[in-house]
Amino acid sequence: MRLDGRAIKVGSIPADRLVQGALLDKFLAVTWGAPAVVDPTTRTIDLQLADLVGASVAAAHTLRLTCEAPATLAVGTEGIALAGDGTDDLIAQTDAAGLLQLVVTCAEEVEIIVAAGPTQLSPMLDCSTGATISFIPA
Amino acid sequence: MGIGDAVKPVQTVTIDELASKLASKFGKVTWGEAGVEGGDAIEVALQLVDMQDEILAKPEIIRLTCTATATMALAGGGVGTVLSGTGTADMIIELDAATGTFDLEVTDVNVGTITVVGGVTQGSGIVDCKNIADLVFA
Repeated sequence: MRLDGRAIKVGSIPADRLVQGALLDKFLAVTWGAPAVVDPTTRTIDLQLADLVGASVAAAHTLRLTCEAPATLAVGTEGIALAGDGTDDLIAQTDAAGLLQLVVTCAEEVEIIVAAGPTQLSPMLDCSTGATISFIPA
Repeated sequence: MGIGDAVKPVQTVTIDELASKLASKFGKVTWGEAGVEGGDAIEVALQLVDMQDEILAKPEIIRLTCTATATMALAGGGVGTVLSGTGTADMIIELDAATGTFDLEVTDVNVGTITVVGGVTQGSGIVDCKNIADLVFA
């Protein structure tokens, strides 16, 4: 904040200034880690909640995850499945660290896109980034 | 003038003071003027704007639903992409990346008002979808 009485310049406030008043924490974004190969038909991938400047947010929130039909989604070691565990339409909650481990299973040698979205109980979420998981042998 | 008069309170920060990278995180669905009914169909454009009502050109993903007697599709020659549900009352679309627009065609053989609403879904960013489109079929 300027102390010289001049107005704040138009277009000058970046996201990290929203930290005042905890406003930044009101807007969350979904980020994805790198997929890990478990076996030929199983992959895991971590979803981490972040704020608008990319810092991890440690909070449990509910979101909906869907994927293409040949694959199914389940919750791994982090997070809780609320509905649809083992299907292509999963409602889950991140753990207190804002982390959700997804287990993606697919018997076909294809690439699977996983999309997150808000649902009942979700906060304001930017889910515009999805994850692509390959089941094509290297 | 005391220091209190010189310092701009946080509460007076306005939308236009947000940096464009931050402001573009928040979209709003708006609707253009409905076209003239022809062949039981009416065209209307969905336009994504930012919080200052300026055009926001990004390929946002939106779910559209309408009154159950009607169906929706991409207008002939229009921009945007239907991801699923074309020819139904429940469609998921991706806006044209260059314009933030989707040209919608709504068809209904009945007489009356058809309401079209947008909403966030898997893959969406943070979008205000409270504006609706009412289309009057004669």
